[in-house]
Amino acid sequence: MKKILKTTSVLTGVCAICAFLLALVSGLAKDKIASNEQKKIEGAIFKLSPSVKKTEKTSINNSLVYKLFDKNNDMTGYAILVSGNGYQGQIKILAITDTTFNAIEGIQIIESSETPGLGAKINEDSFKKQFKGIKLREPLECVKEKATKENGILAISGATISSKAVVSILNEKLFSIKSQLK
Amino acid sequence: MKNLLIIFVSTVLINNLVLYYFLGICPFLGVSARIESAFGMGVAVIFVMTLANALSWLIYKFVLLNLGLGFLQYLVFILVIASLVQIVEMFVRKFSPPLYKALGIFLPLITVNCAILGASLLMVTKNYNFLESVVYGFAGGIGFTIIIMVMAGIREELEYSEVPSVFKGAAITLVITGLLALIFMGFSGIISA
Amino acid sequence: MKKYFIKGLWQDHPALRQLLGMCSTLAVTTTVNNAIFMGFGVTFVLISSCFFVSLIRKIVPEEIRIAVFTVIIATFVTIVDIFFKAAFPAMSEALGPYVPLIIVNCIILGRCEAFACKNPIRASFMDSLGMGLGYTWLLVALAAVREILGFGTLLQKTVMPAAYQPLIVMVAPAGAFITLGFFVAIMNKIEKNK
Repeated sequence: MKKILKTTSVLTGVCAICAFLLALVSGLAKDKIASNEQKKIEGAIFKLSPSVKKTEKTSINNSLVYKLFDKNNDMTGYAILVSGNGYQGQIKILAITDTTFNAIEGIQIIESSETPGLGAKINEDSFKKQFKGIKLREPLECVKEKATKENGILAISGATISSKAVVSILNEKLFSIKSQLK
Repeated sequence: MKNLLIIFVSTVLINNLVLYYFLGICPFLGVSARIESAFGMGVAVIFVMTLANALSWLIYKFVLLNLGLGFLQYLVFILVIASLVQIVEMFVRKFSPPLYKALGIFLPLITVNCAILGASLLMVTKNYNFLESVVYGFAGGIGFTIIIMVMAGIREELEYSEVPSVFKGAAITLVITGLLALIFMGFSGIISA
Repeated sequence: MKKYFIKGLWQDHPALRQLLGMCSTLAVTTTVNNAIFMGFGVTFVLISSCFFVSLIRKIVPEEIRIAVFTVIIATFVTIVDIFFKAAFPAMSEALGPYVPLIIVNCIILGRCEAFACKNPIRASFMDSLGMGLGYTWLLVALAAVREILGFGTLLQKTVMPAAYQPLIVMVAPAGAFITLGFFVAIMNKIEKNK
């Protein structure tokens, strides 16, 4: 009996102290971690669209959307953070659209863990620049041969799945927000 | 359904926990000398990994997240795994002594098999739902078992060849694993949407 | 005291001789930067865990010692993870799930079990410091080979001549296994010739 009591109390005691320690450290670091996340997104926005001087967080259709303003405080467009499953894990994409959600001004891959040398090429400018100026009239299509239609995106050879993932993530989230805006 | 199938195939062949994520190396190096022990370890891993994923997911979703205790994730996951292994060990010892004798020392080793904790952590990173997490655990275990048995087969054959003495043991096993990893890289084209 | 520290650096090397901690060794040695941070993380967890295990060694009952050690280790790993996320977010992302995986890095549990729970605090501290630094130098050495051959860079700076075609396979899992295998073989050779 005494043994069970000792075993339980030592284990509980250790767990309690550890949980307390973790709560303490986690509480201390929470704000810094949130601000790191914020800075990362804002940094990406400013880099993607240098004319943007200010951002304002808002929510459309349960999605986090940033309104973008230039130095004259005129709205220049929206920035949306979307994510979905890629080939290896989550892909987080930052998409900047114009003020009417009619075209994408550019995208940036914020987070991805695709295969280095293959899927990771979605981070390269040659892939991303295809999205610059693309119209959002109908869903984007990822194709393997030359992109002939206006809404076509050429997949990276050897990285079809990662490329298609980027396109489908953008389609899903952007169009659902666009329908809310109307 | 198709989604689950993709998760299964990719976890077994492409994002293999051992060959791609480097998980479960310690038991892999230690147990892959004989095919029977490799199989035994593999079965135990499949069982624990699937259950651990299921349990950890439930606790994570319904307890930790609701209470804002996300930072206790690692602590809770490893406790789930350790307890599961303990229970499995007691269960096997009571209901199947011969099985216990065969698997004996492997069971406690599974607790520190990074593959199990790894599978739990990855299911959270990949944002899988409950069913996907369970399939992921199951597939992960199968992938581990396949590799460890292939390795055991190779090592049993290796006993008849002349390995340079400095390479004997862990060194040659690592090099062979590397070659295996290279071969499996060829599978990455299998899944085309 | 000194001998406890020295043995972790070579003759009792946790990875090359005891074959512990392989998972992290292979995963994070793609660049020297990653290796340094991981080495720091493991050393910190090792030292703190061994310290506390040694501190409470007389009051922990035999049956639950593994569970208690694991809880302590998981706590310090979480602290390191939080620290990286707050102070070095880019590195935290690069190391990904391998930081929490330090929990099951056999080196730490191995040292707690084999040494810290049976020895006083100062000896445990020296032992864990030696093991941690020994592990770190291996990570950096492995990473140096893989980064130079696989990316052509060292610490993100290009060191190979422009004509060099990087061997991508070096930074893939295959390259990791093969390189480590050779390291172990080299170590065996050196030990044999002594």
